[in-house]
Amino acid sequence: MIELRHVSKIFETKKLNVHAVKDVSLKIAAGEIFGVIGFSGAGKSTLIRCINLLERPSSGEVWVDGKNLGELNDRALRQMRKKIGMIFQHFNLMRSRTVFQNVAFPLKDSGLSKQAIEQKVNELLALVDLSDKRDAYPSELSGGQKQRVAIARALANDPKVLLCDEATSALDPQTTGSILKLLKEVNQRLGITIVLITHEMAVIKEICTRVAVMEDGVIQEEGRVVDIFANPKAQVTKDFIHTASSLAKIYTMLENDSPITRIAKGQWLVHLKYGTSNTKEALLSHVTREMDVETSIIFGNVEVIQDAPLGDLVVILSGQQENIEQAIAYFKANGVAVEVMKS
Amino acid sequence: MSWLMDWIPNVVELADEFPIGFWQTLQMLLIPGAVAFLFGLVFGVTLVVTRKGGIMENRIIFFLLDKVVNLFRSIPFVILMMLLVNVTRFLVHTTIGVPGALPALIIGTIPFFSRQIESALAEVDPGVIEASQAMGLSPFQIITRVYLRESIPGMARAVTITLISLVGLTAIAGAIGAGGLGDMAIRYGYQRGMSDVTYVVVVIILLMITCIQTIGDQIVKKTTH
Repeated sequence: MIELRHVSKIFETKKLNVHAVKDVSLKIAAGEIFGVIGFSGAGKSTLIRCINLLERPSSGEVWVDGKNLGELNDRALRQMRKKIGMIFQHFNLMRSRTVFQNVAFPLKDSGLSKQAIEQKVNELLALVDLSDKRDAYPSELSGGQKQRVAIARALANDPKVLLCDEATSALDPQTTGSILKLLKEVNQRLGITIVLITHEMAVIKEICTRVAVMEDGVIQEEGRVVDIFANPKAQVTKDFIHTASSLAKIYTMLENDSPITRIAKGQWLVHLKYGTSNTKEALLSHVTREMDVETSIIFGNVEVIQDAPLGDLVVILSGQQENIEQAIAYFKANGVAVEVMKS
Repeated sequence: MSWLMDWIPNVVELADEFPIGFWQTLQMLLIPGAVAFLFGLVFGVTLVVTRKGGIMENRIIFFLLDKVVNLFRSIPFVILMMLLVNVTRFLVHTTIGVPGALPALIIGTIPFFSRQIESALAEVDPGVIEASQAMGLSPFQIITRVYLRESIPGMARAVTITLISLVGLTAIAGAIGAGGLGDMAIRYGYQRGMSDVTYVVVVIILLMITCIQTIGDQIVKKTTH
């Protein structure tokens, strides 16, 4: 549905040239929810604006729905943009128009009759659960409600793609959850391809099927969310995953020599990571029974990503050194990643 | 009536001239106001859309217009009137009376109005403009449906301020024989020492300005959501 081919964007100023996006190539299939995550300044905002040419790439091609956007004339590009909805961090509703008028706004030149527009807008407002706010002005709405109006507006022209520019960054966690749920519903019910950018790993975890991690204008790594979570390669990805889990705290405690992470002689502190395939096996009790290695769990966390569990355990193993080594080998043989934190 | 004769004798004497003066001032307010508004709208919009980052960015047009507006804004009105004598004579075949004052009032007001409208339009959230571009609106549609619509309160404020400053200009125009209330204050109040005429003129102008301000405030209030 969307393909970026070697897209670069350079902002030229008098003093220096800012290379916001560097040679990015991406393919996003129809019906996907694709996330781009990065810290601020990573170039993700510029990247998403390249998809509807709000920013024209300095080089490279942007293909949406089989069309090379760079080759379209202004009129054709505007037609194309009607099929690419977009929502924003700060909602960008028109203050002088009511909720109804905001949603009806993109339908002005659609050729629909007044009644058809009325019906369409009412349907959209029902979809985003705001039928009762029809005649309210944006200033009377909460942040979450404003974003719902923005979503309804973005869907008015039956787009094939919905671009979400930090759409939940200005919202509290609970509202974020409800907006993400709505986006997922839009994706599933209407089959709209969604591209979203965010700096929150929780957002990616919640709804994305695939993710690209961006840093300094470059896509550092890209893949299915489950795979990226289970096996992050780039440092920036690891940092993001850490921010999303309390596991990072254990490492801080270890550095600070907290009593919880102190171990006696003959004990090992290990970090076990397991994925879908091995969650059902009773690995820990097996180790205790068969290898005479005592296990005590000091930290446990299970993430559920796209309905697949992804677990982290921090465990103290106590026993004979060769037995512990045998146990670790056994874990590894069963597909559990083992990191020895302290021995 | 006798106490009026005691208090404001010259005003009573000149009672017939006041409605004429008021009517002339009103003409000098509304005609240049309307004409300058149209030009100000065009120039203000042009300044906003052609500036750096605008929806129709154009350095040359912006540069020229920006400089011309600044140039005309920096000429004091009294001097502008004198500068425009020949233009005025050519356009309206006279340099006195209300018609003689109109060209100078219009040209003196346009730059001010343009700046006022420019700043009203600049207040429109750039995010909303970006959203409209993302929706596939053409630049012209963005001007008419977004800029002009979203900035109605700001433009009502701009019109209020401009009309009030125009009242001041009509009085100055009075100094070179344009007629109106300012002219009366100068001819009778100042040159012939009839201070009561000046006082009454001040009261009338004060009432006019209060009216303009009140109506303006009401429009701003009604259109701000």
